Amino acid sequence: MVHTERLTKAFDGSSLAKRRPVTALCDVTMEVKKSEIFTLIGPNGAGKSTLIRILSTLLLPTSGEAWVNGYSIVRDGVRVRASIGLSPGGERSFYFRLTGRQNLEFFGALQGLPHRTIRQRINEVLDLVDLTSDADRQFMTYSTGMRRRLSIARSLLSSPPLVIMDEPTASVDPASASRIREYMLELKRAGHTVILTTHNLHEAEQLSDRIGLLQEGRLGPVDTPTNFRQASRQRHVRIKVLDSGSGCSGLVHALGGIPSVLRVTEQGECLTLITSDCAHTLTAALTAIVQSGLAVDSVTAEPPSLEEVYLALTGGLVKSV
Amino acid sequence: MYKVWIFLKRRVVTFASYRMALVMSFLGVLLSSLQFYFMSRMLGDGLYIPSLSPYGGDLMSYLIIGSSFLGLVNVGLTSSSGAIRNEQLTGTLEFLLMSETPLWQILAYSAVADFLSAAVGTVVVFAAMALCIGMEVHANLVAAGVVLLLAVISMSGIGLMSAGMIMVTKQGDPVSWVFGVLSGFMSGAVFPVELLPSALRYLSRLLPSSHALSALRKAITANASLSEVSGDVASLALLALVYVPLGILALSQGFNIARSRGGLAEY
Repeated sequence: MVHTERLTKAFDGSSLAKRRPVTALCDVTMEVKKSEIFTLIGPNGAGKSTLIRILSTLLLPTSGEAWVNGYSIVRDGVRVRASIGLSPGGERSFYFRLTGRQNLEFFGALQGLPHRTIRQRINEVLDLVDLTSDADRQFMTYSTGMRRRLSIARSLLSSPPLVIMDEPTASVDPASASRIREYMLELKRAGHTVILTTHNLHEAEQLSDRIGLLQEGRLGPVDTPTNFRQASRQRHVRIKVLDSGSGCSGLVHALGGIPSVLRVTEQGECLTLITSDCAHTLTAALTAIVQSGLAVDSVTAEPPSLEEVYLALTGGLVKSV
Repeated sequence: MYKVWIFLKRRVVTFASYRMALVMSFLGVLLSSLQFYFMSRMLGDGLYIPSLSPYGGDLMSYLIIGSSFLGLVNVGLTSSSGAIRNEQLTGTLEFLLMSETPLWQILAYSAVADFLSAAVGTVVVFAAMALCIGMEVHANLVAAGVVLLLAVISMSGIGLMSAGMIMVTKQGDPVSWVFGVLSGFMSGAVFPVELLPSALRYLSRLLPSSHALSALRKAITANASLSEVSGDVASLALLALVYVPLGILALSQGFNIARSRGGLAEY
């Protein structure tokens, strides 16, 4: 559905606007398959929005090429735009004085929806995002969650094969965010391809077929959420000791001294070790526990959460992957 | 037609929701009418000016048609850049550009809404003058309509150049400023072009508003037919043929520069 080939975007600096030259995207080559939810994650300024704006033909690449639904974003802009529904993160993309329905009618007409069928289509998308009862209120009276849902409704008006959602749940209350996530899964079930950007890694893990990590304009690993976590050499080893009455606080220091252990936390009888070498850590940790006179009740080793992998990859809390 | 209707509906709904602005617009039209009314009182039964004889000679009619219709014709000049600027401020420009409707068409629909709004004001002022001061109107509506249409189209060409400039500069474009100032000064809005030095007279021929005002005066006050104003009509058509393609080219250039710089949504 989407293919990019060494996509690069460099912005010139401007002394007047106090803007320094920056390479927002660098040699990004990726493929998004039909009917999958592909999520772009990465720190602020990583290039996610730049990539989305290039795919939407709102920004020209400096070099490289991209195709959406088989059409070149540089040469076939009209066909590319007809293939995309864009739902942006901001709230300033509607006419505040018009109602939700009037906004949809306006944008639907520009999308080329015929007068005879536009009302029916508007009713369908309003129904899909649960806005039917509020459709005739002015947009300016909508809550943030309602604005995001109307934005999703607009992106679906012409039933495009590709829907791009830029941080659709940012600043949205948990109930609305949950509903927006449900819409995304419904879109996937209906055969749409979804490109999503988010900072909510739980959301990314929950929804995505594949995740791509953008960092400083470069595309890092692209994989399924499970493989993302499994590929990390880190493991969370949780050891539950049998309570001898004295607790296990004395062990924390000893376990922290094991070379492969990155961090140790203690919560009651449970010790959690983040390690880069599971086998070595287990052997050393169990030996230390037994030598201290404590008995082990249970041991589990799990891959880290997506958030922990992300932090490791982007130079966050944990030392290395 | 549906898209034209949608733009008009957006304009009317938005405008009607700002009650104070609505009231002030009506007051503005009323005050314009009053201003002309008292000017006519000052001039008594009218003042015949020999240099205005090609346009009927009556000063009051000359001024009313000049100022009213210059505003209407200038809609073509200011509408497109104004629309771009408004959409940038509203945050909707990128979504208009994401639609299947080409940008120049979007600007044309927006201009139709602007033109109709301005036309309502002009018609009200005109009707008030005809009723209150007995301004003589012997209008050839076909000729006036054709002239007005060609004038707005050729001015829109310049307006598209201005919109292309606004895409890049965001605020303040020299194109509409220069043409706006020149139109007010040398298109015959408040004095006949014939009074200008010859060099400026030639320059004024490049302004669609010069031909438009000359032909409109003849068509509205002297019932001139289309053939009688054919010289101005031909000039307007020629200017439209030059300015509109240039405007579309400039708009396309401005759009691509903004797309390349990443400044489409900036304002």
